Amino acid sequence: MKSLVRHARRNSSQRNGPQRSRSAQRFGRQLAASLLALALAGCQLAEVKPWERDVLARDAMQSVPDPVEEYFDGHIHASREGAFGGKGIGGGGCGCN
Amino acid sequence: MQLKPPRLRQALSTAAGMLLSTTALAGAATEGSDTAELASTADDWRLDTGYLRYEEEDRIAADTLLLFARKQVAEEKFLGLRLVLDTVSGASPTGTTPLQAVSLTGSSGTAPFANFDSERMALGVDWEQPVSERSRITTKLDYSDEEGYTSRGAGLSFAHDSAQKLTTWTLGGNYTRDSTKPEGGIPAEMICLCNLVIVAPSATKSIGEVQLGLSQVLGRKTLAQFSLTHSQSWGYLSNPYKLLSVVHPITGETITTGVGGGTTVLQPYTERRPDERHSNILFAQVNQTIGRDDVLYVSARYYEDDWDIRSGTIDLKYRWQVSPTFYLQPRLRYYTQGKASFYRPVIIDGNIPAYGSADYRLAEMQGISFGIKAGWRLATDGELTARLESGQQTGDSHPDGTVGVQDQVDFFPEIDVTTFQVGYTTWF
Repeated sequence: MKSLVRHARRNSSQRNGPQRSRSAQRFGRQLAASLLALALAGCQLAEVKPWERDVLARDAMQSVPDPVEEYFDGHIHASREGAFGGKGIGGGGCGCN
Repeated sequence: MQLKPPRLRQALSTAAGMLLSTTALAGAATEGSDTAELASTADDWRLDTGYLRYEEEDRIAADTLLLFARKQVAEEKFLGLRLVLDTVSGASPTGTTPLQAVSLTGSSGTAPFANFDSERMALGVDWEQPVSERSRITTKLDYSDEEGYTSRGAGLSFAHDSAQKLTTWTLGGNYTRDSTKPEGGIPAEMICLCNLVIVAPSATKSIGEVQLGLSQVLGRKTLAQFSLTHSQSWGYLSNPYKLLSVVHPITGETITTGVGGGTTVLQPYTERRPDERHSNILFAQVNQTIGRDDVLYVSARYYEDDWDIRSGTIDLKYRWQVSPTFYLQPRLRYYTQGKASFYRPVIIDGNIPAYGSADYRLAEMQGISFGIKAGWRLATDGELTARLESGQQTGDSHPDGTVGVQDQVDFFPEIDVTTFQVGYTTWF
């Protein structure tokens, strides 16, 4: 059993090695581009004074205005599609058959 | 209008906290606002409850009940509790072709669809507390259990606000360990059902995730958030219930004719996925107030992993504040994904691959859904919401890797999906 797992892990690494390297390079480029965009955006941010933060403080402007909808959506899509995660991490798994 | 700066900290903290938690943070009300705000400074508890009905036409149906509770136990300290109850039942694809022949002594489990029934319970708790004037730490525990599958997870995140409290950085990590114990045990992978071996009664899978997040106020009416997530899974990542049909290399049928003229059914194989999976996700969301009270939500997610799956998601919502106590929110979601490198519709007899799965969720697919949500504020005690969505999943009906009669099979019939949800939120 252990030898099967080791064999599979070796095969997996060998098969995935070049893919992972390309994937990591691509992700690194995307990360750099995102950080650059953020840095540029930061230079142009309008300063919002404390007395101007009324709109931002509203329930509807929160990052997650509806945690019920957020949970249901995340759980459904993670179990019916190939991709998972992105907004939050953790949160429990399932057999998802 | 009197403003409370702590409310904004909560808003940004929510943006950060939500990177790890599914519950929103408590906050003080904004007096004199044009929309009826839910909370008041005197409330300690926030309760969110919901019911979801999810249906795939002619396939599965799920009912989910959830309860989220969040309490401010002390200054800047919050306790969150989560309970979710699920039942899922119906017919799920096994992965075999619709043309799979069944031998006289063959198992009916090789049919293209198998009925199943499962009930799941999930519990979670999280604790948030400050570590300095502008930083806080959140710890999180999750547990879920259903017949044949248990999941346990723990997470930690750190959030830091800028001096003006317009920027929040978060760094979080989570570790989850799942144990699968299917009926009949864990089958050997990529093995013929005719030579089936059970290798163990159960198997484990681990998932480690790290996330870097940024929440940034871009203007008086604009909040943006970004996150980068790296995830690694390892262990038993296959599905013990999924199969692949084996087909004749010329006719494409799941039977073969012997030298003497007798026919034999080619029995399906168990699937095999790699025992590691590394993924990267880029996520961005903007909340933009339009006019006085309406809000436009735009989010995008890019996902990639070393199974070769690439996917993009766009999600648009528009909250139309019809009156101070009623809103309508249409929603459009579009999803697209490329197939996993080892996805294949069938196995060609004599050419058994190292890895393979016919699970349609790993195939090339697109999903589009439209929905409408309505929300009512009930005096100052709570909010009631109802949401209805309709969508379709479509995919590659004729993927590479088929021969003979399998060329005519539709390997991804359109799936019609309906979702209905009701929710209730209250402060007390």
